[in-house]
Amino acid sequence: MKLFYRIKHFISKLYNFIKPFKDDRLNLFIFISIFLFVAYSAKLLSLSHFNRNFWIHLVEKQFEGAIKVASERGKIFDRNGIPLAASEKVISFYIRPTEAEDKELLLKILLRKPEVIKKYLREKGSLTPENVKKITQRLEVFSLISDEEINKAYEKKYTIVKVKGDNGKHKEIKVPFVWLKKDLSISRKKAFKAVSTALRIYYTLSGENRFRKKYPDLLGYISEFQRVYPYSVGSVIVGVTNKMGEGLSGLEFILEKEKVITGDTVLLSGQKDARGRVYLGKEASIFLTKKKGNNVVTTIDGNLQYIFEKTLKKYGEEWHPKFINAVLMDPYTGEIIAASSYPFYDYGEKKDRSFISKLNPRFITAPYEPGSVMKPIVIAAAINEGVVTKDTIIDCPANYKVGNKVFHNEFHGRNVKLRTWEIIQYSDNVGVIKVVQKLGKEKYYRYLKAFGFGSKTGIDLPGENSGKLRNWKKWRDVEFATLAFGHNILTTTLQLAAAYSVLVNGGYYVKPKILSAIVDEKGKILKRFPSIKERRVISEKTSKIMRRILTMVVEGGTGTGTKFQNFFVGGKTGTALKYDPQIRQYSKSKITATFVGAFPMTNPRYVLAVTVDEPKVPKNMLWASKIAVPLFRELSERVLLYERVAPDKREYILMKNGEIVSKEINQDFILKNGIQSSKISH
Amino acid sequence: MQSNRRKFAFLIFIISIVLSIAGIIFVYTGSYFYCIKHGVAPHLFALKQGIAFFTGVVISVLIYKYLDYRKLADRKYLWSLYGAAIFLLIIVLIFGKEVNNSKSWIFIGGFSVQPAEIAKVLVILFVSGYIKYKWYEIQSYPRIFAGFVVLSFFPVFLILLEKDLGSAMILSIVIFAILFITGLNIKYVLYPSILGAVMFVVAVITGPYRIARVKMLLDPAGYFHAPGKYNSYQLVQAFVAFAKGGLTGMGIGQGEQSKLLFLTFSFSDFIYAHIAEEAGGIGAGLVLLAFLAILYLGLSIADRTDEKLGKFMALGLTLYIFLQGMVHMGVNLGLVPTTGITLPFMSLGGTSLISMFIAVGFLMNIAKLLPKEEKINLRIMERGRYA
Repeated sequence: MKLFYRIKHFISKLYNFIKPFKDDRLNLFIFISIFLFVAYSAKLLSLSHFNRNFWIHLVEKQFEGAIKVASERGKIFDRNGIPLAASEKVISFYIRPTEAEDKELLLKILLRKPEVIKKYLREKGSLTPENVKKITQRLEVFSLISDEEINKAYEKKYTIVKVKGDNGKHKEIKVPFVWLKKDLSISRKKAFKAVSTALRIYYTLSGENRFRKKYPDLLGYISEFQRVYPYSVGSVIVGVTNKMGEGLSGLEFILEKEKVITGDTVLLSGQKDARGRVYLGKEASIFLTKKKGNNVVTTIDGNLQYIFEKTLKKYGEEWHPKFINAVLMDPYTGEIIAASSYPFYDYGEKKDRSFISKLNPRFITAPYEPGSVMKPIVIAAAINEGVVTKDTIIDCPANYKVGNKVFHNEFHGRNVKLRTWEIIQYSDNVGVIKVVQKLGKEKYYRYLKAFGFGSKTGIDLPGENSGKLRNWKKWRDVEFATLAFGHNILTTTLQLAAAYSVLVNGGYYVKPKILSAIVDEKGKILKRFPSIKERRVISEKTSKIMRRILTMVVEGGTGTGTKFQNFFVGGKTGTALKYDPQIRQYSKSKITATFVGAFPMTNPRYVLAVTVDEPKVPKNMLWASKIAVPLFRELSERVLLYERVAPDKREYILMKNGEIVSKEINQDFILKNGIQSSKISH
Repeated sequence: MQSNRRKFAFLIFIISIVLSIAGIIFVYTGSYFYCIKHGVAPHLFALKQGIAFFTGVVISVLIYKYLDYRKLADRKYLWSLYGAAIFLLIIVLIFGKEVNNSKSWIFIGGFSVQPAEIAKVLVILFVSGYIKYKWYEIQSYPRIFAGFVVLSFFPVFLILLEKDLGSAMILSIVIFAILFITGLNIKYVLYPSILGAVMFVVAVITGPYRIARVKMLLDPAGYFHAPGKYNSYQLVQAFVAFAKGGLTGMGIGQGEQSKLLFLTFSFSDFIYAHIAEEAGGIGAGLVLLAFLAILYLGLSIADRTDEKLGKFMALGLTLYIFLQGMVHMGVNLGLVPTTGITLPFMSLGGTSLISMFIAVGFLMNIAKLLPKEEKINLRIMERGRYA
């Protein structure tokens, strides 16, 4: 009974509450508002309690941010420990000229005017000569910035930045920020001291409130790592980095890809805001340890590389060829000692439109038809197989027909008989065709493969091209004949150098390499790159014969241009007419001149391959013996001089008593370069 | 025992002051990071709001003490009010600067003011005075009604020219509510309302972006990453603020949505979501209840006054405050299409705050002049002493 009474009371109260006013129209507003209140509270509860997780999960990702902390990049050394690439901490100063109300004062501080410093100290009440000296010393850093640069920055006032506006169009915004001086190699501490002192003086003397300012940093600095190339050689091999410090080409690219040269990149997770800025908690940096990138030792010799680049540039500017390649290689270890490709990028040079093409290591990326340099390969294969010996006499008619094509010999209409080694010496096409026909297609193909043609050498540089070698089953007879003197095959300069290494080093194919070791920060060797003798291609005896044959080319054949008085040099020229797609036949004015050789021939230490593509010279000069041989001679002479190799040619004198005494020739070859002969022992 | 009239005045005053002080705190927590990012002192916005708050309180107390609202029935005052409102609105149209797609700001010296906010209150005062003055004619002659409509909707039209659709709608609803309460023939209110509703639908259908806004209101999550300008990014961020706050909130000053700059206008157009994030669903519910309380108190004043002018004014001003609050909260909660309406007393905006306190001052003034309530005392009745 009591309960019933209470309920009745409650309902009547509720009625009075809902209908509290005398005016019914006013009550209507209350009814509507109660309906609104219920709807609003329901939505509020749904958002902040029941459906809470749905909304938080929907945008979860927008709060996830991370900061990448990259460590210093490793150095790249040459074989003697000369840094070819290194990282340097640099400081860049900036200024906000329009934000300073008293521009004269800021200028005076930057110019380190003593009256300003004295005025500041007087205001501080500590004007002593010592303090003046101290503050002047702190501001000394600004002496690196010339007055002209300061004035220029003042005149520029703004940096114009392009920003995407709300309507999707790009608009330009003036930012009160001007670089004062970029990339100074000074310590961060010094820069900080100078900037903070300058700002303190400015705000004290001008009476401006720095907390009221939109940009309180009227003057500031930013520090970053910059990649420097102290020796500025080998841009084709070492490569470059972009402004962000990422490798773009060469070793910089490939070593970064293999994560050798880059140190630890630490990802610190934090909270990201709507503009993409990341805020880290304190705990994020506690366990922050990062390792510097490992250093890399290459097989390049910086000095020889410099010599190569200088020489290539000299000839390149004379001949204006499409490109010149030169690769110097150790035939026993496969180490590439110097390799260059003109035109190349000079570090510090302005990056113009040809910048990318100048970074191209064409000795591995640009395959071409090598021409007669392939002939020694044919002869080596034939001798190794026992098809011919070096003294087998081969009939070389003036006209020799293969399929529907007639080949001519080098003797202008005379039928001759040549020994095998003389074919190389005179570079006779008919002779080599006859030898290769004796050898057979399949064997020749196998030998070419074994010499490394048609497949990548596997050198640690990006962009290598494998060249082109079709399967022997697809060779037609004419094609097979032309293959004997290096047409219908595409090779790179490095492949040629590797193949000639086989000819002179005793018959092994050695994999070319450019990296010799990975060294950590403290100098501990982490990894060595051993020389790999991949396979035996020809016998040691054949190799010895080939050395003699190649030497005879220089001593009395097409390569006499590189004959030295005191060294035995061996090699083979190659003049390949270039196929011109416009006239659909081989052009007579465009050639690729090649010379591949080794020296000193008694015990070959170096294999040097030189390629000159499309030199623009008079027609009578369009022969490898006129183009590639002089270049080879200059390079080899300078290598021999630089490496102080003892001469291997000897003079033989018949004594009166009938004995034959051998004597070294031209001993002062080295002595004139200031080296005592006693130091050189062979 | 405190008399009823003083109780109403006191309660409305206390609620508005509490809301304003809370508003200053939330404006500070919502804006200091924004201020730092824009290179001004972090407390700048809160300080401006505080100054406006004190000015507003002083003005409201002055109105309460020294003014008699009944004098506004005088034609002279009435027309000068109207003239002042029109003058302010036209000044805004001429000298106003466009901020966030609506042209309502005037910069005088270092101050930025929104004269339209004051003008809206003046319009409400004028309309209630005018109806009191001519309510019989309005009711009887359609021509005079039409003239009244033109007269009172001219300021609304001016506000529309300033591209402030939300405010214009609120003001017209308030004007019709005052008409409705006069006991006017229901046709006069119903037909224009139907017409307005039809026009609203037509506007939604013709304007493609309006359709998009309605659509994204129905499915905010689906339109979160919609391409173009009409995505529900802001709305979803407001929802996330509610969700992050939960029921108890993250704590005053701990809100992340505003500090990570995801919730833009966390101190003006989206302050309710910001309050919900920091003070939780409970705090947000209290704000909602406060606005209901203002409505209840204001309607009570309207109910109890024996003066027609007082009734109209109390209703108009109360509804103005309440509706603006409800629309703001509705936008934040995703119940009303997004328009830039600030939360009365709480959002940043000195002129708006002062205009609200002018309204509160008039409400208090009306409450002060309520007729004395004679309670029937049974004991006195028994003795036969009642008059």
